[in-house]
Amino acid sequence: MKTFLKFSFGLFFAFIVANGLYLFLLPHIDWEFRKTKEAHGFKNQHLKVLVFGNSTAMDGVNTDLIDKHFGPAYNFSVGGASLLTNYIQLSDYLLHNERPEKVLLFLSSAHVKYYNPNEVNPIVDYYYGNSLPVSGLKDIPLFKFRWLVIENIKKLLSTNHRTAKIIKGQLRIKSIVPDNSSKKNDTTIRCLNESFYNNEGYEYMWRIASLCKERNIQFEVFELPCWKFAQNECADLVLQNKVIQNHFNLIMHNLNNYSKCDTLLDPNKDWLSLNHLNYNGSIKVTSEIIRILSR
Amino acid sequence: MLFNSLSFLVFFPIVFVIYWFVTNGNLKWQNILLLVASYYFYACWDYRFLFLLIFSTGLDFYTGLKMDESVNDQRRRIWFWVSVIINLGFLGIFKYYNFFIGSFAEGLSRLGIHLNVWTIRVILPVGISFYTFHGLSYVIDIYNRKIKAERNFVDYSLFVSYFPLLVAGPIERATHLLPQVKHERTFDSENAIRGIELMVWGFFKKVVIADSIAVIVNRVFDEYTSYGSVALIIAAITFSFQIYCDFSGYSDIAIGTSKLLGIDLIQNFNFPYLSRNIAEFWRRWHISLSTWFRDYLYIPLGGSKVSRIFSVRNVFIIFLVSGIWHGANWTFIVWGGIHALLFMPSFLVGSNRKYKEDIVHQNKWVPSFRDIFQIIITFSVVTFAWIFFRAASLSKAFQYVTDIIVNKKGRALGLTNVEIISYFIAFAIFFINSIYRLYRKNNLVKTSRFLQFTVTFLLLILITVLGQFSRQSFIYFQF
Repeated sequence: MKTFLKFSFGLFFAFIVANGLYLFLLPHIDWEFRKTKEAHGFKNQHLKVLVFGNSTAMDGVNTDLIDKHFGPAYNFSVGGASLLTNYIQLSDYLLHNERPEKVLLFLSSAHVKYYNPNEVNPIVDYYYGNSLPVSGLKDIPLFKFRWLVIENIKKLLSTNHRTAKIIKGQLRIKSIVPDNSSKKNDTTIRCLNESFYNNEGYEYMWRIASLCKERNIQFEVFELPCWKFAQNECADLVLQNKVIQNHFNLIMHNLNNYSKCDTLLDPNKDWLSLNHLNYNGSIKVTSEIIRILSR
Repeated sequence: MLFNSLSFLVFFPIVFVIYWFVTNGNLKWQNILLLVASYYFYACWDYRFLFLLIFSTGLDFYTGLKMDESVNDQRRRIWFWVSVIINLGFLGIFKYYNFFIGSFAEGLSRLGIHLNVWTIRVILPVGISFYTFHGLSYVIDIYNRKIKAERNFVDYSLFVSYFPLLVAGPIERATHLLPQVKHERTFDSENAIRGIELMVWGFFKKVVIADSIAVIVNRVFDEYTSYGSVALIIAAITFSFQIYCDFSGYSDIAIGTSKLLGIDLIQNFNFPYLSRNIAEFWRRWHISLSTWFRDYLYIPLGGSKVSRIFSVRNVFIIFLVSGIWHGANWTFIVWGGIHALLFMPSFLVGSNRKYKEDIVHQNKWVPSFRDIFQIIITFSVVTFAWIFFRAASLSKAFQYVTDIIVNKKGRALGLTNVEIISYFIAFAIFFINSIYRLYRKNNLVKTSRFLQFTVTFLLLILITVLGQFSRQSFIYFQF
C-alpha cells in the first residue's frame, strides 16, 4: 500500500505543481493574459475611448489609430468574450477610473449566436472574479485556460505569431489568409431585426448601453466584417431597447455590408481568418470607424 | 454513471477507501459493498431497469441451482432452456423485436401483403447484451458440467453486476471471475499502480482521441453527400480510430478500475490494428465477445470439425450473429457478413490459425515490410467494413462507398489550425505510447517506476488540456 500511496500522491502533487507553474507562466507568455492583467490594473486612468468585443475586435480594431483622433484609447476585447464579459470589464473600469467619452462595442458575425451569453471569459473571470483562484475542478488552471496551451504552441510553430504584439490592447498579427470565398445570393436573410437584439443573449449589450447612458458616455455598436460568403446587404439598424427597464435607442453600424467591405477591404491582403482582420485590415476598418464617429 | 464523468471521480474513490480501509479485508463485506456500489452505478443510468437486472440475476441463479439439483438430464435440460429462453426473450424484446417485426412487415409488403404491425416504444436497457451474456455463459457452463452452481446469491450477483464491466464488458466467464469473487483479496501495490496506468491510458483514448475525432466523424457521416472522396476516406479511417479508442478506452478503464479493487478482468483488446489478417484481427478485437461466440456458439455448432460446407456455414453464423449482437440494424448484419467474407479465404486455405500466438514484430524493434504490407491491407479492409457499421442505413453506407470510388469532388474537412495542432499532439502521443506499450509487452523495454510515473503524469496533463468533457457516452453502451 505504501508504494501505491507514494505513486498516487506523487502524481497528485506533480499535477498541482504543473498547474501552479502554468498559472505562473501564463501572464509572462500569453498576450490575452498580459493585456487582461494590464487592463484590470487600470486605476485613475483618463482614457477617452474604450473598445470592447471578442477576438475579432481584439485583432480588428486599431486603438492606436483611434487614439490619434479622439485621445487615449484602449482595446479591452478578449477571445471568446460574451457580452457579460464586456459588461464586467466596463463596470470595473468605470468603478476605478475616470469617465471615458466613448464606448465602442463590436459584435462579430459570430455574435449571431452567443452560445453561452452568461459565461465569462476565463481570463477575465480570473482577474475580475471574486472567487478563490481554484474553487472547483473547472478552475484547475490547465483546464480553465486549456485553449491557451494550443494558442501558445502556435507561437512555436509560426513566426507571425511569435512576432505579434499587443499595442493598446490590440493584437497585431501580420500574417495573411486570403478570402477566396464568394458572396452568397441569399445575404438578405442575414439582416437581423430589432427583436433579435432584444433577446436574452443581448441583455448585457443593453446593460452596457445603460451604464453609458447613466454617465452620459457616447455608446456605439458595430458589426465587424467577415469573409465575403458571410457578408450581408443590410443597412445600419436603429434598435430600441425592450430588455431592460429604461428605454432608449441605439444604432447598430453595419461594417459587414457587402458594398462597404468591397470598397474598404482587399480580400487578398486584409484577413487572418474568416472573421478576423489582420493588421492591414484593422487599419482600414478603424479608419472607417473613425469616419463614422466623426460624423 | 459514465466513467468519464465527475460523479465517477467522486464515486470510485469513496468505494475504494471503504473497500480497503473500512471493511478491514472482510470478504463478505467487500462483496456486499461492491454489489451495492454496482447497483448504485447502474441505477444512476435508470433505476427502473435495475429490477430487470436483478430479475435476470435471480433467474440464472435459481435455474443454475435447479440444474445442479436435477436428478435426471431431462429436468436439467428443462431448467437450462427456461433460463436461455427467458434471457434471450428479454434481449429479443428490448433489442430486436421492433427490428424483426418491422423487417418482416417490410418483406411482406414487397410481396404485396400489407400488415399493420405492432411495435413497442422502449428504451434499450444499458448493458443488457453484456449482462445477459454473463448469465448465459454461467448457465451453459453449469449445463455442460464445467462448473458447479454458485450457492451464495451475493457472490453470484456480484459476478453478473460487477460495476467495472456491467455496462460494456469485458464479457467475463464464471470460470474466471467467480473464483476471484470468492477468494480473499489482498492489496497489491504493483497491480494497483498498473490499474492507475491503465485507467489513465483508457481515459486518454476516450476523452482525448475518441471524443475529439467524433466531431469530424459525425460531421462527415451526417452530411456525407457534400464531402469529397478524400474527406470521406479520412472520416472512415478516423472512425476506425474513434471506435477503437472509445471501446478499448472503456475496457482499459474497466480493467484498471478492477485492478485497484484486486480483481483481474480478461483482456479485451490486443493491438487489433496491427493484425496481419482478418482472423488475427478477431483474435485481438473485442476478445471477450469473440471467444464467447467461439465457445458457446461456434464449437457447439461443430466448429471446423464438421464437413467443409457446414464449417463455412458456422463461420457465417458467428459473424452474422456477432453483427446483430451489436444492434438491430441491417448495417450491423452486413458488417458481420463482410467480415465473414473477408475471413473466408484464409479459412478455406487453412491460414486462419497463422499468427495465433505471436504479435507483430515480436522481439523485433521494427516489423518486416511484409508485415507492414499485411497490416495496411488488413486495416484497410477493416476500415471499409466500419463504414457499414457507422452508417445510419445500408443505402447510406453504399452511397458513401460509391462516393469514395467515383472520386467525388466536394467539401474538404476544413479543420482549423487549432484542431490540426490538437489532433497532431493527441495522435502523436497515442502512437508513441501504443508503441511503448507494445515494446513493453514484448519485453523489448524494461519498465521502471520513473517511466510509469512520467508517462501517467503526461497523459493526465494531456487529458486535462485536450480532453472533451461533454459527457459523451461510450459507443458500446448502445449495444
